[in-house]
This record gives sequence, structure tokens and C-alpha cells, in this order.
Amino acid sequence: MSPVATRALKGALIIPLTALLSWVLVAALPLRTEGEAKTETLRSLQAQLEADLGLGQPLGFLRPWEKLLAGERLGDGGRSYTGAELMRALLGSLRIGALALLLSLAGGLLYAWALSRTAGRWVAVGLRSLPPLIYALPTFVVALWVARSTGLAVDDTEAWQYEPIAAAVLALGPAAFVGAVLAGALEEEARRPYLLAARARGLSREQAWWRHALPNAARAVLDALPPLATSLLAGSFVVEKLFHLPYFGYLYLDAAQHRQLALVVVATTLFAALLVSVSLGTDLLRSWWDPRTAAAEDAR
Amino acid sequence: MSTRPLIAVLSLLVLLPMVGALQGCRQARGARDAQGRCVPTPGQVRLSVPSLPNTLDWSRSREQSAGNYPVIQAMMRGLTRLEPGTHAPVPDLAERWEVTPDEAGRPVYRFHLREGLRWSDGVHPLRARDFVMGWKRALLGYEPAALLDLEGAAEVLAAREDLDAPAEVREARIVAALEGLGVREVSPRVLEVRLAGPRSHFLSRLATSYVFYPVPSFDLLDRSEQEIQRYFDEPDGQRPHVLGRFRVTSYDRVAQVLRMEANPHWEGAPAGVERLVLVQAELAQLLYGQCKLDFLFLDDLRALPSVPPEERHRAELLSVYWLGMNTRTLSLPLRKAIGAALEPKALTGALIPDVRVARTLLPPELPGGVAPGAPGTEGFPRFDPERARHWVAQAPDAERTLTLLVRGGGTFLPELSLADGVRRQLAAIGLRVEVVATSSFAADIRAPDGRIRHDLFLRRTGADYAHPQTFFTLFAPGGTHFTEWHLLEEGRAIRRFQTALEAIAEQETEQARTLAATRAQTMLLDTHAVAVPLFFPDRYFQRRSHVQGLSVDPFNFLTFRTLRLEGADP
Repeated sequence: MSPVATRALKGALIIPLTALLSWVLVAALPLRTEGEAKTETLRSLQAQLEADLGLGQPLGFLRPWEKLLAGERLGDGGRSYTGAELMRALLGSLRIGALALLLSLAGGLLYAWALSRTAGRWVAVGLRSLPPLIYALPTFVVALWVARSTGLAVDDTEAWQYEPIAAAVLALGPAAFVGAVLAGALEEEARRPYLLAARARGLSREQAWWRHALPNAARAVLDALPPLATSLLAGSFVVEKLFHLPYFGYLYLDAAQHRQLALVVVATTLFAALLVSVSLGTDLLRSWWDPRTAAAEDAR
Repeated sequence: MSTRPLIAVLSLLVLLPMVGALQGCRQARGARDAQGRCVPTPGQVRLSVPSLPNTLDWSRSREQSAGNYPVIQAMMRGLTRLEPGTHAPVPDLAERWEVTPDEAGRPVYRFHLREGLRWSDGVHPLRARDFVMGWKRALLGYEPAALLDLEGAAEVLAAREDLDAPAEVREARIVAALEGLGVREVSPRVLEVRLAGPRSHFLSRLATSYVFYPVPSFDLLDRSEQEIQRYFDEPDGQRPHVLGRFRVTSYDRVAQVLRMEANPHWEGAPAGVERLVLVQAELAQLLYGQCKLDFLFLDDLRALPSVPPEERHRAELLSVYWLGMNTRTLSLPLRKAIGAALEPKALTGALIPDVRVARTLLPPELPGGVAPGAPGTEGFPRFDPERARHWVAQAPDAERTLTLLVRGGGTFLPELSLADGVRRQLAAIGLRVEVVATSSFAADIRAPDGRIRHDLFLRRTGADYAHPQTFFTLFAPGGTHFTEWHLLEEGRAIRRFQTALEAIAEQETEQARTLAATRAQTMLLDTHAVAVPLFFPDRYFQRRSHVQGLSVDPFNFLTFRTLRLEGADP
């Protein structure tokens, strides 16, 4: 079996394990029944709620999935969602995450290019101090400041206008990270003899940078891609909350906060599946980009 | 290869979506006139609510229902409604009613439905059978306790609670018990309701408890229970049919937006409001400042001074904020000492503006409530440090550290600060209190063995209907009083209280009801010192001046009954 297929299989095993573990963990929490009610919850209602969640049943952890497949709502009323609604929310988060990833890569590349072109010492110092400055700014502070300036979505009719802004806020830190990693790798490459040889063959500095240095340096970014994509997806929770983009992150936090067992189980599992897919996709991309190094690492 | 085009493409990739989005956002920021004032959207009111409904099925409501009321009460009406100011029940869907005792002396109501009332399809008239079907469904729903006033309802609940019986037997018992329920259609416009006993709160309850609202039976009869739930919870603009001022056109749970439109067959004046948009937003204050909302609750009281006075409003609620005491862990002298050591005015002064201090459990404006100092209230808790020290000296348990449970968030009151105030005031008479914050009050107040684990707790209790019973239900057997007072005197104390409640329910006149209710309050606040009332909370909200009549009712629910639009925002 190829190394990528092995990794895909391992990833696929993680998904049902996540489903089971999340159900066990959430089921251990007390069931919310009384709330603000003035009278004690009836036994029959308690039993009905427990049965609905699969608590105390032999294959109870499958109950959320049964409901999902039957088209029933997961969760409690207003905080309840059908499978189609969950997917719509997930797609919203994916759009923000994907755009943020694209912006991170483009921003990082621009930063590395600008740094490599900078001749002035003080400009270079200024550019180099950018990433640490950006790391020091918490995303929610930036998001809040931007939301105050640009406004935020009041409902679904406006949400699409704020998605690129939310993605840009989200991409700020990762772009700085990509830029710093890429710039460091490019500096390493710049000292290697093959670049001198390329220049000796008549390539301009720019051509040597784009054709030889960048593809080699990009390996460092590819290595960082899986955790980067993961952090972007997780980070989308913050910007969704602050720009009032009620997508998956918003829904997930809300479900966890209100102990919506079925919803938490399904959402956690979907999120795990997404992360596994992203990780696998990145592996494939890396194998395609740099087959020799990937093969060597697999052999190790 | 030239690098410039590549760099240009990259830069465009980063910048173009930003520029487009910023332009879109500039347009999306609410419209303002030349003077920078918000311009209203014709016919539309958009408002922020703390929570959206957990169901639109008013017969099968879930218990976490605060978000349901505003929407359901905009959609539906009851047999009665409450007169503003007096809170007295007056006819609404019913034009009149008669009460006669049956052979056992139990009241039998005959409600005559108003003529000409039609569901929002404009075709089907309201029929008595709509109530019969709705109430029977409600008894099988999540808030069946509200219907226990009906004859036969206790039997239905008993059958439901018989979990040890085989499923088919239990099901058959429930069906049989429902047949005996005290509600029937005498004629299309006459509904007969038999009560389990005298219930002076019944007419009040019909006005505000939506489980008593009728359902469009003509549209539900051929549907399975699952289809009926979809009928309500997935509105399509026409369905569910309603009798109220608005109907729901869409409910997007992902986007957290609920849209309503004026019911074309509403009998009242449309008052210019064609569309209502309810959103649940974390940063509602920011959205309001951007002219995107016309209404929001002001639950952060520190923000009040920055709100223009013409947009700031206060609603007085029929609710009380009180300190509960665990009668199992605290001796009577210690409970009395705590009652005398607390000064609500000082506790709330810096936190809540114009607070209405509570000296009674029932708000004085509630039918059956009394003003402080009224006869019978002499022993109610009042600030008296000397007396508090006297009681502390007699308390055998004054040396130990007490725990005080309080909600850490999610309420419109500054509860943590209030708890800290209680701690400081009790420290003044030598009592040590440790404040414990919780995000799940109902779960955390009990130990795994079911006992109440904390000595003190803070809680707000609001009226569900305009009658003393709504506050006393909490302290009756089966109520969530969390004070363990049902264990006092081996249960005799709470049984006496139950008898006192029955006495209130039997009273015909307001005066007699008030006297009986004051006796019940005395048992809780003086004789057994179970609770210390602190203040009657108010709700603040902000609304554009062109949106008139949009308010919060005494039950703490947003109400659209008198909503109308006038002119532009000045």
C-alpha cells in the first residue's frame, strides 16, 4: 500500500473514533432539562429526551446519525439543524477558510518577494519586524476593530459582502507566518551554488528567483500547510462570531455551549473529517510538487 | 519571464476582493440622510432578540421557551387577553363566557367564540375544535404542567409518567385519558372547558400561556405527528396559519433570521408594518449604531448613559429577584439573620438605575400583590443590622462558610456583582460567604444525590400570567424552589402552603385573593424564611423613534401588539 493510501486509511479511522469519543464525552455531561422551569421535569420527558439522544441504549452513539439520515432535526428547536443546514453552514466556513488560505499564501509570497527585493537596510528591518508585530495582535482584537470600521452583517442577505473581509482578518497572522517562513527559506536558497550557476547561465536575478529559488523554498511552506489550514478553519470560529456570519464555527460553539449532544457529535465528526481531508489533500499536493523529497520521507 | 505581471496578479488577488467587499459594506451600512440620521426602511422593522424560538409549534413548546413567546404571541392569540395596566383578563378570541359549577362544584366554562374570526388563509373560520385539538396535543408536549387545571389532565399525565408499563398499554391509557379531558366542542363557536377544581388564575393563564392557543385543525387532521411538527417548524409563508397580526414567512436557523409579514386577514389596522425581521446578533449594539437595527435590548446597564433619551425605554416587569436559602443546611435563626442583614437599595444602587426595591415576593402591581407595610407584611425581611446580629448570636451554624450560587452570565442582570454585594453585606454581620458562579444553574445547584448543594442562591422569577399562583408554583410541591423547604417539619410546612394556595384559587374577589396571597407570602418570607426578595427587575431597551409601540410586556417578552411606524427617524 502506498504511503499516501496508508495515511488516508489512518485518517479514515480517526473519523468514527472521533464520533464515538465525542458522544461519550458529551453524554457524560448532565442533561439540560429544568432550565428556568418552575416545576420539576417529568420523568417521561426526561426519558423521552434521553431516548432521543440514545443515552443508555446499546448502540446509542449511532442515534445522532440515525436522526441525520432520517432528515430529522439535530439539537433543540431553534438551535436545531437538519443535515442540509449543517452542510450549508459548513460550506460557509469552508469558503471563508479557503479564501483566507489563498490570501495567506498570496500575502506571504508578496511579503517574501518584497523582502528579497529590498535594498535599503532600514526598510528591510521594518519589513522583518512586521510578522512579530502581527503575531502579537490577537485576531479578535483586529476583527473587532475592522468590524467597527466596515460594519458587520445583520443577516444572511449581507453575509457574502463580509466574507472576504473576515477572510482577510483571519489571513493576517497566517500570511505573516507564511511570509516569514518563505523569506527564511529563500535566504537559505540564495546562498546555494545552484543559483550562482543559474545566473552564470544568463538568467536574470528575478528569473533565478522565480524559476529555481522559489520552488525549492516553497517546500517549507508546503510542510506548514496542514497545520496552517487547520488553524484557519479553527480560527474562522472567531471571525464568524465577530462579523455575525453564522456558519459552522458559530453553530459549533453554540451547540457546545448549550450541550446539544447530537449536534456536537455530528459537528465534531464533520470537522474531524474535514481536517483529515485537508491533511490528505496537502499530502497529495506535496507529493505532486516535490515527488523526490516526499518519496524519501515516506521511505524513512 | 517577467515577474511584474505575476506580482500584479498576486496583488490584485489580495486587493480586489477587499475593495469589492468594502464597497459592498459601505452600501450595506444602513442608509442615512444628509444629516447622518438613520433612514427607516419603508414598512419594515428589524430587531435584535436575545434568542430565537426553539419551536414555532405552540402546542409542543420546549421548556427553554423565552425566545418563543414574542414570535408566537405575534402569530397567535388566546381566548382572553390582559388589560394593560390592571392585568385583568378580558375577552379576545372569546367574545364572552359563562361559568357554572358542575354537580361536584367544579367550574365549567362555556366560551363563545367571536364571530367572523378566520385563520390567515382567509377561508377557514376559527372553530371550537381548534382548541380541543391544540390542548390535547399540548398535553403530550413538553409543557403539559400548564394544562393541569383541566379536568382529566392529571390522568393523562399519570398515564404518560407510567414508564414501567409496556409501551402499548401506556399508549392505550394515554389515548383513553385524553378522551376524558375536560374540553369539548359544544358547537362550532362554543367551547366547553371543565376544570379540575376552582382555579381563579385560569382566565389569566389563557391570555399568556400559548399552550392554550388553538391550532388550525382543518390543516392538521390528516397529517402524522412528524408532519405536523414540520408544518410548524418549517414555515413557507402561508403555513402555519395564524390568527395574530403577523405570520412567519421564513425561519433560517443557520443565518439566525426569522422573517414575518403582516397577516393579510388581520382584523386590526396594519399600522404601516409590513415586515418584521428578527435577528439574533452578538454585537447588536454595533449593528444598531450602523442603522441596521430598529430595536435592541439594553442589557449592559453601563451603556445606558450613552443612549439618547428619546430612544431609551424602560419596561417594568412582573418579576422578582430574590435570594433563596437552603433550609436543610441553614438554621432558622441564620436565615432570619440573612434576611435582616441585606439592604437591597445599597446592593443595587450603583449597578441598576432607579431600582424598585422589593419588600414582598409578589410585585405590588400584580393582582393579589400588596405594597410594603400593608397589613400582614410586618414580619417580612427588612434591613435591620441590630436584629440581624441578634439572630446571628442565636444561630448554631453562623461560624461556617456559606456558598452562594449565581449565574455567571447569560442574564440581563449584573448577577455576579449582586452576589458580591450580598457577600459584603453578610460579612458586615460576621457571616462568611463564598460566591460560586455557574453557567448551568439547574445542573450545578444539585449534588449527584439530588440534594441542593449550596446554602444560598440568587434567582429571578418572572410571572407567566397575572396571578399570584405563577410565583407560588415554584414553592409548591414539585416546584423548582431549590430551598429543600419541602423537607421542613417532615413535609407538613409545604402541605400547609399547598392548602394556602388552594385557598387563593378558590377566592372569587380580588380582596379575598389578596388576603390569601399575603398569608402564603408570610409562610415563605417570615414563618419559614425561605427567601429574601431583593428587587423587582426592569428591562431597558432602545428603539428608533419612528418605531412606536414596540415594547416589552410585564412578562419580559417583546410585544408587537401596538407596534406602528410613524414618519422618519428625527
